[in-house]
Amino acid sequence: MTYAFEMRGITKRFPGVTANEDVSLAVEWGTVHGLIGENGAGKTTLMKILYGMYSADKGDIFINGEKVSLRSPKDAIAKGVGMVHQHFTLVPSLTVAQNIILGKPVCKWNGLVDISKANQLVDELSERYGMPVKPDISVGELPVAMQQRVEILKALYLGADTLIMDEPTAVLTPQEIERLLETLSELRRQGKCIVLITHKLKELLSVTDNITVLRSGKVTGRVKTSESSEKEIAAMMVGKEISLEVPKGTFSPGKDILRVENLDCYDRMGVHVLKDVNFQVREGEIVGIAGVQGNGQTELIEAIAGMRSDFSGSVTINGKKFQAQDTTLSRRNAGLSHIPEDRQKTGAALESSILNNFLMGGLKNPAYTTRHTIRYKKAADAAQAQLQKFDVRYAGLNMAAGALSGGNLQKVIVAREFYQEPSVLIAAQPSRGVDIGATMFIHERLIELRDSGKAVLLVSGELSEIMSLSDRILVLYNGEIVGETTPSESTEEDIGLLMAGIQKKEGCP
Amino acid sequence: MISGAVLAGAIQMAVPILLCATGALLNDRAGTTNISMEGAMLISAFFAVAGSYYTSSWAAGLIAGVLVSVLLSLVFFLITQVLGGDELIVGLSLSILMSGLTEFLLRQMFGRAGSLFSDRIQGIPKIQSEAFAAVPVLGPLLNGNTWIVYFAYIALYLAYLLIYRSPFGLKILASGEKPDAAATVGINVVLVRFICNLICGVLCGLAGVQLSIGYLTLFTEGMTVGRGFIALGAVMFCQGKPLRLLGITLFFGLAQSLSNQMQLFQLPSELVLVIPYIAVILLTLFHLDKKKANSLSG
Amino acid sequence: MNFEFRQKPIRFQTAFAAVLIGLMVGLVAVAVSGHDPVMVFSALLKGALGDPYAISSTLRWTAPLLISSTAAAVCFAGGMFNMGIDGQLYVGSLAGTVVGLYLSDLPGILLIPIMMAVSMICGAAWAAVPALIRVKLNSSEIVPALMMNYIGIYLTDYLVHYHFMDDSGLGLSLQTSELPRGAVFPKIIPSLQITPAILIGLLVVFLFWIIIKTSKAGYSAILSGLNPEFARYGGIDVDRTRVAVMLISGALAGLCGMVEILSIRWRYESGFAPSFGNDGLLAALLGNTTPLGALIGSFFMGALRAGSLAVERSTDVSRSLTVIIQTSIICFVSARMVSKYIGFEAAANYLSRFLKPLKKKGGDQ
Repeated sequence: MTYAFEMRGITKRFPGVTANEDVSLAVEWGTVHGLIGENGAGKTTLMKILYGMYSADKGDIFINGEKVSLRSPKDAIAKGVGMVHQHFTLVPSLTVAQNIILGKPVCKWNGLVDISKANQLVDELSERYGMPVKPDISVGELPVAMQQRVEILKALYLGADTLIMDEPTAVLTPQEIERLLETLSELRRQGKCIVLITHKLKELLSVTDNITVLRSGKVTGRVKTSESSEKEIAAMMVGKEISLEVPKGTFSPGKDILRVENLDCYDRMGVHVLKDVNFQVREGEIVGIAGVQGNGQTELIEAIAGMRSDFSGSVTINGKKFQAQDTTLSRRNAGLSHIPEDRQKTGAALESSILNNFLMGGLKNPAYTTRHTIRYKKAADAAQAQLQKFDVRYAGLNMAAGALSGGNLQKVIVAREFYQEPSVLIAAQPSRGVDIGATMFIHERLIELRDSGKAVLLVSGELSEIMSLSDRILVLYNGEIVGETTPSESTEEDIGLLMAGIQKKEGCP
Repeated sequence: MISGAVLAGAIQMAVPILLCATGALLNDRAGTTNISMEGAMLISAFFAVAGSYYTSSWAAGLIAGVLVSVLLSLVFFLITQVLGGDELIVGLSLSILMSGLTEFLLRQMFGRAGSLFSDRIQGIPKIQSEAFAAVPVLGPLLNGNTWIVYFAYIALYLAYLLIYRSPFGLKILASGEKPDAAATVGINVVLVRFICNLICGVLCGLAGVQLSIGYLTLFTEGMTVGRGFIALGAVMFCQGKPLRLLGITLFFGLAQSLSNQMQLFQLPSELVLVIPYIAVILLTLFHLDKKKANSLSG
Repeated sequence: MNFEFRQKPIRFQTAFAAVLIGLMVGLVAVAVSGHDPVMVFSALLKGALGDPYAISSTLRWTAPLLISSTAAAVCFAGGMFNMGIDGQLYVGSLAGTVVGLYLSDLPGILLIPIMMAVSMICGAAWAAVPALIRVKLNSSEIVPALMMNYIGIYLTDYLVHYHFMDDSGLGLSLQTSELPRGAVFPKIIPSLQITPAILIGLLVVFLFWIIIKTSKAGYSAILSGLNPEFARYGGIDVDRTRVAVMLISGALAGLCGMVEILSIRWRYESGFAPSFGNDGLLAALLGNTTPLGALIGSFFMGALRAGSLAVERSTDVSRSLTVIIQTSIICFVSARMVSKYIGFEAAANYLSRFLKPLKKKGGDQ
């Protein structure tokens, strides 16, 4: 029988990195194939080669038994390959139907777009694959799970027989994931070939037929799902058995350091993004905020840190009360530090030097500033010592921050925020896109900070991270706190239900 | 003071801005920020006069003017897209370059400084039609214009069809709003932008031609007096809505026509000429839905 | 439309390639217009640097450019684009001149600083409009600043025409009366055009350098320019920084016009500073918006202008040749790929390999 596609000996190098080295992969029709590996293992690169977005330095690609050369997504689409990217590639202001037909518009006799026919086509398509959508709504107004559905329909409309899904579950609740996996099974029944890229083991085992494991660009394992176990695959992923548990000191919380009261916020589009949020974080405590991305976490962090001014309610840090009009600076002066969600956009100036990045937020630090000036020499000494303590690998302080790897940049940010000796630290997605080693290191530092009697507010989309670090867990859904629990009281499944808004814990509004 | 003459003037005076703004709208939707339109208009105004001067034919002037403007848009595209130049800087410097180049050429080709007028320069004929005159109310406004004036308004409608109704328009919108998304369904974003930029070049060329051999038959250094930038302002404030764009450009046309009219009343010309520019500032201060402006400028 | 401007570092190779291309465009322009390019360009070089008079002429043009390029660079550094330097310059310098004429009884040593201060305040006031539009309305500052140019130019013309016209002269040109002799700059070297203007220009650049290198304000401005969101996150008031750089820029624009009047014109004339604003912008861009770059860029542009004026005197090649060369250079300065395409990269690498051993030797001695 012929394979849906086959990649032989693919090698792809980027300046300084080998993303794929001699990778081979073959997938049959009517199967779901899992491609698993850690962040940066080269999964996405490999699939972007199949989708014509990158060209391989070495190796051959066969689609349906025929050797092909793919120079652009256009070629790949013509060969029946479709891809749903991790970051959706939809145009928000266009309607569902317009987005779906974008690559192959349907026209009337006069050459203009036939939008009613397009809507009809979308209806047919969504019925055939069991994925209902409204064709004439703008994509920007749809929830994330629906947008993903549009992405899949778009690929199918363009004639995809092979469908690549890149981390499709990262933005979904456990229940939405369930629906998605059903859809994938349905597509498999109709004879399509599906490649599922992920770094989450559980969902992989539930839906795939075969699994290929990648580690630093190389294939480290090929198994049949039915003959494998979670443990075996995990070992192939990381190369050695590791424990993610970080030892913690005993839990003995002190007085409230951070208090959030009646936080309420409407965003620019008038959506009610935070609904009367109240909580406090005590000395020597890590409070984790769990929730699916986009349920108000960003707004909550920004409101606490003073980066937005369109909310009501108050934030009390170390006994000082702050409201919407108070600045970021005043909160930093009160003892707040903040590891931001998006380190490239908010956490660093990539074109600027490491030293300048290190100085941010420390303009009041008497160690290296006077009233109006910065003593760069002293600052450099301080930076050097602190970065060494945080095990940052860099060539020199004048090197651009953008030249650092993701993990190292994150460590620079953590080092910087710790240097100001905060009494409260907001840690937002502290390990997003960071390798395991750096993640462990950052986790240890957070625990250390807690053990030394400081308060930590941890916001993360990785439930496992929340579970292993937090003393208390708050679940944020649709802008409100729908539950409070502790890691010992609840399982991941319980919290998953809360995250999906399906079940509210007693005692919460 | 708003008489028929002022209104007719408004419809006429709005034309260069409207043509430019239509071109800029296409560029804007496709995701290009081209601020060299001021220069494109100026150089095409110059070559329209020069072409007409040497051949005594307005058609030759028109072709020369449009060709040069198109050439300029190609240069802009080459430097920004192929050579990796910054759009703002290249647009700005090309604009200044054109004002220098027209001065240079005026001196080297005609030995003049300041302006060029001659009997040999032939203007574009103005259309006088019985049919137009018969139209009630609007009749007097319609007559006595060059074809470019009518075309400017048609061009805006065509641009609307192109952007919002045609399959190519979907590609334009996708390229402008989310180029990555466009690329993943096989759209050649650079090609889409190239075509929009080219059309913008043609429209700016027509605007320049209308300025120099449409209204009058002369060229003056810096005769565009910021119309290209005003058009840019109009596109910023219209937020992709062609009807709003038409309204804004007519408003500028009215301001300009009003200032011409007021000069007849012996008001200090400087204070009168300044009206259209103040209008742009006022429009900035009062323009509505600020939210969307954020996403455009930020 | 994306009006967000982020200055990206310019590599030496790119800048050098751009200058070559710019000169080439100029060469072609001269050749096409039927002149001998070699002759014209040697006249240009001679007119810029050939003799003490030429050098003094170059410095005369460099002086205002130092100030206006710093005005532009300050703004770029803070992430703003000041396209309104011309308007700020005319408004500021007219205000300064008018004050000078009204207070003409004061001794020069007092009057000159007063005039400069007034010009700076009024220039800054003119720049406040686009700055506030940017931070209060969250709209782009570029188009409003351009509009303020036209408004400023027409307004100053009106004021001179109807209120401050010099009625002693015969001509009808728009200009004010002359400032008292005691209240203008003396010449440092008689017979040459060198006045304290060049010192003021150097001082401005030097202050810019000090602020960038040592102050918190400089750090805040640069980081706001590089990544405003990061700056806001770190506690920097980005909006205030943006207004501040724009106001400083406007003040410097006003100062630039005033210094030009004090040192050369001695009176306000309509359109006395043609393209100082644009030249300043271009010089700042050529100099990568750093203080040292502003210095080099201004000197280069000043020399170009002095040279082209000399060329215009001796041949009939228009002085706009400067504009053509300048703008062609700037077109390509940001085009980071250009040196690659013309094979310049390889040449530069070869050259640097060749130079490295020499440098090492130099170090040993």
